[in-house]
Amino acid sequence: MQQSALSEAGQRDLDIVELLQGGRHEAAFERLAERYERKVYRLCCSIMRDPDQAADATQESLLRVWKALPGYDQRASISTWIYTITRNRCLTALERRREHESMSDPEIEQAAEAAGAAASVGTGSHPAQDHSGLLRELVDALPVHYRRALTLFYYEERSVGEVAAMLGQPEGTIKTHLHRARALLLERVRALGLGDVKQWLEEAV
Amino acid sequence: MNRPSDPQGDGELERALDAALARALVAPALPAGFRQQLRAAVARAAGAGASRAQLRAAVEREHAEQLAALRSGYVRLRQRTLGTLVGAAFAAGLLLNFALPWIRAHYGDSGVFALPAIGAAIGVGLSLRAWWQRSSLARLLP
Repeated sequence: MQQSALSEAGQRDLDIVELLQGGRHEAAFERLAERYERKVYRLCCSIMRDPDQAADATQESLLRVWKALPGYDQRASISTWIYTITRNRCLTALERRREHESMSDPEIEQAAEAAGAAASVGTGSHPAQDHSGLLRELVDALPVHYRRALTLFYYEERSVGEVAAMLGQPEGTIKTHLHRARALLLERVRALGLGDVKQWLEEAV
Repeated sequence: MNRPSDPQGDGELERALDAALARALVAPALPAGFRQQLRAAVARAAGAGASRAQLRAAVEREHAEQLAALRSGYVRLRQRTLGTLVGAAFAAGLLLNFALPWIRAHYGDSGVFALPAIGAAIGVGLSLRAWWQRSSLARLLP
């Protein structure tokens, strides 16, 4: 099902490939931007975790795509190629951000983020009614690979294949990350001692 | 309370979690005007390797697009203002239709003329004040 969805996406991009083969780079880019700008932005959001920086990274990524378009050799599908450029752009931007924050070790940063989120969740500083906000904070406190897979999975309407293509990982890995992310989330929701977990989740609107 | 060891409970919990996550994690929307900014950035990037004439043409195109956007906003604003004025005039007419018999009953025929005269005086006063402020005469005074 997901394979067919991906091949469908590949079929859909044939028009872009044809435009490129005809030397119509501007028309190809226009179509490509229309089709992928939202997906690229979502991928940037899941990596950068800041809407403004994600918008900048989206523009930079698509600009790189534009510059590299004449050299596109069809070894990878258009979508894989765009997502690879986007990931690299985001990771470079993240590195730059870390340099600015003088925290070069990603594990330390991640641990600090997780500790901060866990502390804010643990202190009960959030109103009990804001279930959805609390759930988002719990997602934010997940390990980075789980968080990215989980957020993209819901952004992309539960398509494992699309998330795998976006993150450049096998579908099996994404499924494992999703499974572990959900298990960890349930464990953390239970640990909050909110009473009936199912009811609490159903109220998280 | 659901227990971790209860498979049916876990299934229900997972479904509830899935639904809650679908509601909580909504895909973010691209900022407004993103495509225009991207086009401008692409035009600038294309201009970096192009001649001065091509660069000028790209900048002029971008300027013309921005001007067209401003003009369309200005026209919309004028249409809105005109709509408000027409609407207000009709509303005032309607109000007067109901108010005139009441004024005539309470203040007689002179009241019918006095009230519009007061309104006209206020209107003329406001417009004179606006013209005075816009003219350079106001800036010349201490």
